[in-house]
Amino acid sequence: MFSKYWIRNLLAAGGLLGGLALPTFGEDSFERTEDRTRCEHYDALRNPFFGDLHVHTRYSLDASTQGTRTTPREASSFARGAPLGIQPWGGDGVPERQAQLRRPLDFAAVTDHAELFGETYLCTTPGAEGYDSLICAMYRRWPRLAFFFMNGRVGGTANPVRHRFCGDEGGERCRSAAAGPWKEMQDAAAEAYDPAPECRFTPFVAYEWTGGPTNMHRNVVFRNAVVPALPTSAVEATTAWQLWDSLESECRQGLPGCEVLAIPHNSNLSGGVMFESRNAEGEPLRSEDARKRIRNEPLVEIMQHKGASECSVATSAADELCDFESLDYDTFFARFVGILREEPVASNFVRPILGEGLVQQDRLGANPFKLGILASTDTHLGTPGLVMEDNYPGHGGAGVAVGKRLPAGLLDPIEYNPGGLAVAWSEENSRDALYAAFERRETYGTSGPRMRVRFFGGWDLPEDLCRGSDFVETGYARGVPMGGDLPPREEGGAPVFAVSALRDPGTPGHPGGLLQRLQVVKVWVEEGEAREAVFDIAGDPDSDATVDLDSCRVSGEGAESLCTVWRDPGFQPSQSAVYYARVLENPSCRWSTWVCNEAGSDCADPGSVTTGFEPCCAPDTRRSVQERAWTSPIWYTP
Amino acid sequence: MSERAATILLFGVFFLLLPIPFFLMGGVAWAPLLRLSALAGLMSVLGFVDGVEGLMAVALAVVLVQCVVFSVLLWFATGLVIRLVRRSAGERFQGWVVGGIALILAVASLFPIYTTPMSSTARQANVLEILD
Repeated sequence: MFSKYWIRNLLAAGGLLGGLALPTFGEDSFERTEDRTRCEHYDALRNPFFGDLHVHTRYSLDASTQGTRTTPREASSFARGAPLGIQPWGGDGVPERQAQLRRPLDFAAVTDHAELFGETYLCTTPGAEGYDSLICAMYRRWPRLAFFFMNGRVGGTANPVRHRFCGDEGGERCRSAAAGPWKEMQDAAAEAYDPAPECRFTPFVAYEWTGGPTNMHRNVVFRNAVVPALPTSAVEATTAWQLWDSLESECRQGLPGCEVLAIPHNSNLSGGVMFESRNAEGEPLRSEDARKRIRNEPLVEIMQHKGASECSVATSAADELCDFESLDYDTFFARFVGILREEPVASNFVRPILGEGLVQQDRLGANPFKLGILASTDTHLGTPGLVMEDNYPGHGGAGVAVGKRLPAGLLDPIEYNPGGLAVAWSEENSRDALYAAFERRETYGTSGPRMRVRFFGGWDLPEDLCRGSDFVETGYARGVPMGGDLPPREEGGAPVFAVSALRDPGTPGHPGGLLQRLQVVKVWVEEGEAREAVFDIAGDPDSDATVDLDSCRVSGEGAESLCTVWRDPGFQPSQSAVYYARVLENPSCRWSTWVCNEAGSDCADPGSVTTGFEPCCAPDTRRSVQERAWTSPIWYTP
Repeated sequence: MSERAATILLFGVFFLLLPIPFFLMGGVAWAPLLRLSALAGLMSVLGFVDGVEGLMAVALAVVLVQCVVFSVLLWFATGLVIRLVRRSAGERFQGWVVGGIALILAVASLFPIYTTPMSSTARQANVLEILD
């Protein structure tokens, strides 16, 4: 036994030296495309960096028309911990509210909607061509009407058309005007990029491609400062396939040093078409289509302000935990037009899509939906990382209008939420290192808390891995981390997975929640169809932990950390499979419960529920949540 | 005051101040017909100047149809009210009743009694904000 232990550790060390021995030889495990020195916190075994890759500022029409004045520079400052004034604005331009993060973020990306950069700029810049047009006058006088009118024409349709004030030649005036905001975003990112060896903050240059008619939206994130002269909007590239072609021709092929990836989000509002197994011609995917797709989209945003996209109780009935920040409509329009509401379909959600990816893998030899996981906020206030449930000012955007004064009642539709965070396991906090983590999918998403979650898979991970001090070293040496593929199977046995989670410590006065349990979600293909199962592998699903919904005080047992090694009991070598881990905190108050309590809304006393707070007492209102993290999957291919 | 004059006067008051329910993209509004008419007018002008495509064509049609339907309904409802007043209170008090209704609505309208889902200001508005 003793000798076996040492043999294993020697193997682990050997594997480490072979695969990750970079500190020893002074090399990086990722390619450096920028001229900067190694960060002083560099660690070959990687650390989790927390960020937000979905942030809107004043250059997004749906943010600016609701009073958001935050510039890209201010959004970056906010991400680094600075306070920020937010709407409503007094007559003297002084904001009536302030927001500030309790902890700064490690990285962020401003992702304004590319479609209306130019229009927004022209309509708000006196003297600009088009400033005096009727559309721009409406924009300034009736911004909420402009939200619907301009989005309806350019953003929420399969055939977007630029406004006539943009000029006759394909709207060239607005297209050219987009260069101003685009340059400002790049400059803001350059200024916020910490050049010191401490590497405290990393901003990415990015934008959102807002394809329609249902939600086909993608955030386009660049590796470094080498980016095209203009973003590709849904006016120029009306489908995701055209977007990917554009990213290829204008970035990877057309611009030396340019690297880019796209991150789809809100598949829960896509009407089932975000992840269609069809190509640009509407034909079944071919192998090259699958490769193109996954080359452009290695990640998916699993949760944000407008709901979670992991799974649905309608399609994953055995998993009651799918009823987490879920929406009861499947397209954005259906929110406004009730008769369009339909039950969400399976293809709106990441878990079934991982299964569809396996089916396609078996058919094509390439998996088009090999998706790593992260989360973000989709804030429309320019407030990256503002995910606190207990002090949530709403995220604006498609939410509640906050023009000249705060409306009575909730500051966001009750079904929305504060969003989540993106986490990357990276050697250091720099663009190259983080981007490399995105590409290899060594990422996870959280619904806001900053848990530290490791997930390794392999064939011979030791069962006592959690008891030693070499969890990470052995995990890398004898297995693959989240986002990876299990190596070819050796003789006999089932895959083994090691999951470790540390609770979010929180901040002074605002401790994070205790952990309730770890789960592994398995999706596999059996007789040509995807199946799924959820396993509780550590912690206590039946613990007495609870939250008092009147005071939001939490009580009961919970764990500071959980760690376990789990072997798949139903493994069949001939079946493709994918596994991801889910980490659950104990129940805590949802944002709306904090707000409703503060307003004195007592559902037992209808007289105490004032205007705008009626949703507090609606029968289907969720009052508590179980915050969570989702890791990127690990794949097994026979 | 003739019955027709009283009807026109009260219709004007209702048009400006009486909250009626109508459907907008942002939900159901409770606002005066003035707001719906202004919206229909503005959207028509914008559509004329800029063209209407897809979803906006549907939205414009929905607003215009509601504008016509509610105008007709409000006209008949106003006539009914005037006839009831004349029958129950007599022609002599007709002016007082119309004035009283106008006064009550005018005072109430200074408070945020209107629900305005597409407002640029806030979803609850007073009469001075119903064109926001």
